[in-house]
Amino acid sequence: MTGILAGFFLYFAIVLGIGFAAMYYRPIKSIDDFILGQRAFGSVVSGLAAGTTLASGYAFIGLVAMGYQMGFLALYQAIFCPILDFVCWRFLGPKMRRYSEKYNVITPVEMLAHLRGDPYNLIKIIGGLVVGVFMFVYLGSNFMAGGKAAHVLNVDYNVAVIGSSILVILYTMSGGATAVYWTDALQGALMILLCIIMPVTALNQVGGFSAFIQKLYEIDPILPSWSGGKAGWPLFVALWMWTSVAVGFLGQPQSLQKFITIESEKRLPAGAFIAVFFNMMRQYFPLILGMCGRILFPTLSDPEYTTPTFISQYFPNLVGGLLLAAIFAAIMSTTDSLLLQGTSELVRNVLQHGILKNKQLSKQFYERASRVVTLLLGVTALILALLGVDTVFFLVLLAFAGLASSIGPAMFAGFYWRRTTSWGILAGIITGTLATFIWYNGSNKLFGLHEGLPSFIIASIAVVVVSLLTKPSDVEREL
Amino acid sequence: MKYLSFGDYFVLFIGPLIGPLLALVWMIQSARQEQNATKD
Repeated sequence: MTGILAGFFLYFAIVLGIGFAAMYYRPIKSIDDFILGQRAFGSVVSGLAAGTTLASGYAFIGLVAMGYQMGFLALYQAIFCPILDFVCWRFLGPKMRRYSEKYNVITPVEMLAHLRGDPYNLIKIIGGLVVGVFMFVYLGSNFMAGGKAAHVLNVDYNVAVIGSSILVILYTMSGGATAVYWTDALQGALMILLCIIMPVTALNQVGGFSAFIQKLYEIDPILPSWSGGKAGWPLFVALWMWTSVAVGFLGQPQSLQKFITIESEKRLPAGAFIAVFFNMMRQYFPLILGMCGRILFPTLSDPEYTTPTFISQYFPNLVGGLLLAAIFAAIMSTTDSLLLQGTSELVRNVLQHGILKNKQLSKQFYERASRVVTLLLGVTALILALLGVDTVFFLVLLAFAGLASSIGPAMFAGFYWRRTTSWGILAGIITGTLATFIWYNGSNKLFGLHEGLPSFIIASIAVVVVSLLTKPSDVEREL
Repeated sequence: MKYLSFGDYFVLFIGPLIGPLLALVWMIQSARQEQNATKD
């Protein structure tokens, strides 16, 4: 246990060190520096930062449990998500990067507002608030996830929540985007290590690939089956769910932000490859680990205990500590991006270009405002996480689908359909959020289907219909 | 292997590689285009 703790603290110290190094090497003088980090991120850092941003604590706890319970049927997540992640990089990446530089637009919501104009500032304020609120609940639930992960490891919940969240708040506040991206890259590397070491060891313990399949089959023949023993409507519902989850990759602002901050458009394809490959690995290997866990620990009280049980049994040393740290890396690399994105959208859109639009305030004011909002967002989410306010954080269940439906259709339409109007974009943002809520809260999720895909489709229809019903925009932005 | 059908092999080995392969193709295409542009 001492070895494990040593590895764990070593990791925390390194992350904090990187955060502060960012502050000295790339000092922040304005809100642009805070959000963009001087756009000095290459393919590797951008790809890993984008990949880790979307891999929360769920990756090594929830996904492993899913593999444990569902077998091969869970692998669709590792198929569909990377494909739609690629679609996002390929079709939004180059356009967003070019647009951002040409028009000095630095966040996804600001871009939506700028594409066809925003005469009443509604896109900026409503879009900024939607993203800010979703980021906030996402943030709080990630803090809670850190605490739960630590609890599984016999570390006190409050100590873990306070420790990991203060660390994240500190380095995000001091180093802005640079600290977030650099630490994300390190955390991504650690997660890759975990992705490789654990399943390889697990497969070895099971007795190799043939034994793995045979033993899974002996436990339950539906485990090593592409259909999970389902047919007809239940199979459709299962495949719909995976597609629906994957659609969430089409409009996460904290991920789209990486297209804006990458060094140049030329870096995008390599960044895409790294992000998509990482995305596949961090889903595929935990699922395989879960399936091995089903063979190695068939009587676990809760499948979510698979990873900690595996580490404490097979790696009771420094390596085990680093592997456990990788679980926290997944949580923290998501948390810091959420904190940064929430702050960016709120300060840039709701304050600078929204409520305080007509006030002449200095660069320093917004630079300080960014740090203060980071602190406020982080500390409030931390307090709610410590109080275990589930009534607020139930919203996180909707955050992934809600964000994608609000931002994705409007962004794609804005870039690929000339007839899109600013009212259409606003309708997409509002409808995407509402449709997710309504579908989710409908009687037993309408038709038993996951809300992600329907709300994305409904928001897309809203963009088209409202655009056609409103006057074509006078604003024509050339790329 | 007697326990696995083509569908099982697909979700286990081929499916997860589709996304990364698409990204790899884009990366290679872009590198070639850039190389050609430099030559011109």
